[in-house]
Amino acid sequence: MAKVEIDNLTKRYGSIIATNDISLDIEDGNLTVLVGPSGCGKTTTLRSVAGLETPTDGTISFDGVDITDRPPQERDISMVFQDLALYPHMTGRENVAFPLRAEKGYSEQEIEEAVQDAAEVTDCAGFIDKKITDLSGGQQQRVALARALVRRPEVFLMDEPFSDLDELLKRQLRAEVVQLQQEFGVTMIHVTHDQEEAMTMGDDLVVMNNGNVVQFGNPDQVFSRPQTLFVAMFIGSPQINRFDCDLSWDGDAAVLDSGELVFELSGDAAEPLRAATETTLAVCIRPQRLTWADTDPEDGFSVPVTVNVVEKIGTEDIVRCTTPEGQDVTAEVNSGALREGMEGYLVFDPNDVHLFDGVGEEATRLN
Amino acid sequence: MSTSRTNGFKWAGRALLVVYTLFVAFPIYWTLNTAFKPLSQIGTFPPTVYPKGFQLDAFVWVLSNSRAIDAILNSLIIATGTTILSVILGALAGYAFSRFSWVDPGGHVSFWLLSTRMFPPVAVVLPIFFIYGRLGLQDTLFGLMLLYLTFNLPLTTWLMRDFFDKIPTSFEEAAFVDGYSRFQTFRKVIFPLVRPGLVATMMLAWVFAWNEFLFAWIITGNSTSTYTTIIPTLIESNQIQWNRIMAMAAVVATPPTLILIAFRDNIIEGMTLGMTDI
Repeated sequence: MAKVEIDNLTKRYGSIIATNDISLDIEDGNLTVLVGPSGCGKTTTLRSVAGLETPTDGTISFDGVDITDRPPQERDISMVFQDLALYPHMTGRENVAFPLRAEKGYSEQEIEEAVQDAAEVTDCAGFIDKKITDLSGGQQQRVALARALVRRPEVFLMDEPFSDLDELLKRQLRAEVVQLQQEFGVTMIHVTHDQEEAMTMGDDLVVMNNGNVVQFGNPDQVFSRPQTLFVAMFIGSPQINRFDCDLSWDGDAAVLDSGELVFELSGDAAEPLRAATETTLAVCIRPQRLTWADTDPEDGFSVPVTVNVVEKIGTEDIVRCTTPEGQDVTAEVNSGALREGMEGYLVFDPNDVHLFDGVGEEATRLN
Repeated sequence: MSTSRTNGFKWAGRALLVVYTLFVAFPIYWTLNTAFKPLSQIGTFPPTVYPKGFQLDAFVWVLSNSRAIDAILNSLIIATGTTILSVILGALAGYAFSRFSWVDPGGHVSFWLLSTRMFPPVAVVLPIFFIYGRLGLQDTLFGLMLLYLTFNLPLTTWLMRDFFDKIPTSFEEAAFVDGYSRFQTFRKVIFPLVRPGLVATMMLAWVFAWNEFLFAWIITGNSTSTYTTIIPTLIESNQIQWNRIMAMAAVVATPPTLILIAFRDNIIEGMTLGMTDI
């Protein structure tokens, strides 16, 4: 188990910057998820920790020991690859035993026991003697996990290993990986482009975009206080609602005008807007914070809408609506409450609004 | 209706295969037919379809005449030597081209290597004849091995590179992370996976060297002639020793046939780049 510190990590491929001066402290025993769209630098960061990429600049250390120049063989890590990298000419058991055979000093019996242990915790004892090519996707996944766990490494790296699985299996394996990680107390760095996976698995999230870390925090912080517009748009499902509004001041009250809708903030709620440097701001509201009203309420903000599509997801429905001028608004409401074609108002509390200084990805949070 | 159509296709396919098999098998049959005939029965019209008065004389000549035997042995040594060299060098070069892009940025070196197969070999026969004369490589086993190496190396390098390309780099990276050095990784992970390809490549390299005639004819003299250069000498001014030619052909076709049978699975897998189950 180790604390992983990444300091000013930069990796350039020619003129392309994969990671731009990244610094992260990954706590001992935490499950940290690097999440972002493809090309954001998350995999490069992970591969640098593994020693498979040599950083252009910056250092990486495990428990205070600088390991930047060490080859992967000399870092106490294990890694599950996106394609799993299980060897097709070996059985599952031989694959799991493979890391132990790299070091001399394990007796056959020790190897046998360690493999059996790893197979049991990852639930693959039943098919571990089959050839890799005879295993299903989920079974291969478990064997790959067993191979990574067999050596009890200091740092456990996962490079989108679940991306090829079906939804049900994915959920199941996520839960199991989290459980294993907690059981062993191992430091784990998990890379994914799937924000839902990141939210459900991570103790900490590192949201990345264009080679930069845009936010570091636990899932609650990232969800409820996104630091940039990019994070707000990327994290959360269904996607956050966004209104691009022009800011003007009417005495002490801030007036946000989207061209169709007008939101007025006054008093303390308007205070943060004084720091705005742009004239057009993004006003965002989570679909989960919207409620339905048949008539325009007096309190709070409201948006007049027509319901277009109702998607059932269980106890909630995702309701896709449009305003009279065609702006899309999505809400998550109790199942069965709304039907397609209904007209009414989506209402929200001004305190739930996320305000960003501008409408670009990099726009920072104001409130 | 669709089944009858499928059946029709199936039978047409089989008929085609039968015709093709006959087409391919006929020369083999005719070779053996001629080899076992006395010289007087060859060239008659209509031809005899089986040897009347079955004779082993031609085979006895091939297997007892020192010139023929020496030539076959020379061919064996040259083909095997050049195969070992070209497969070792080709595999190493192929691995480098496949894995280290800095070795050959832009792919110019590997293209140049391949380009040596783009002109007809006969174009370089004369220069090579003079160069070999100057270097004292004419009529030496090593000289011919070196020459065949030149022609085999592009083939083996490109084939092996293709086989290495088929193996995901993550296989190696996983082994590195697990503590294996590059060499150990090659031995334990990469080599077992390219073995079918390696065998197929060896086979191709060997067959090329075994069958080569033009350069052998030009470069070799009395002491190192290969079997391919012996056959034309059986065309004498007053007669053509068809039965000996055919007996020789039958004998020299045996080693490649046996190799093919022995490594059949590997070769089929290799030729079809059959690593689809990775």
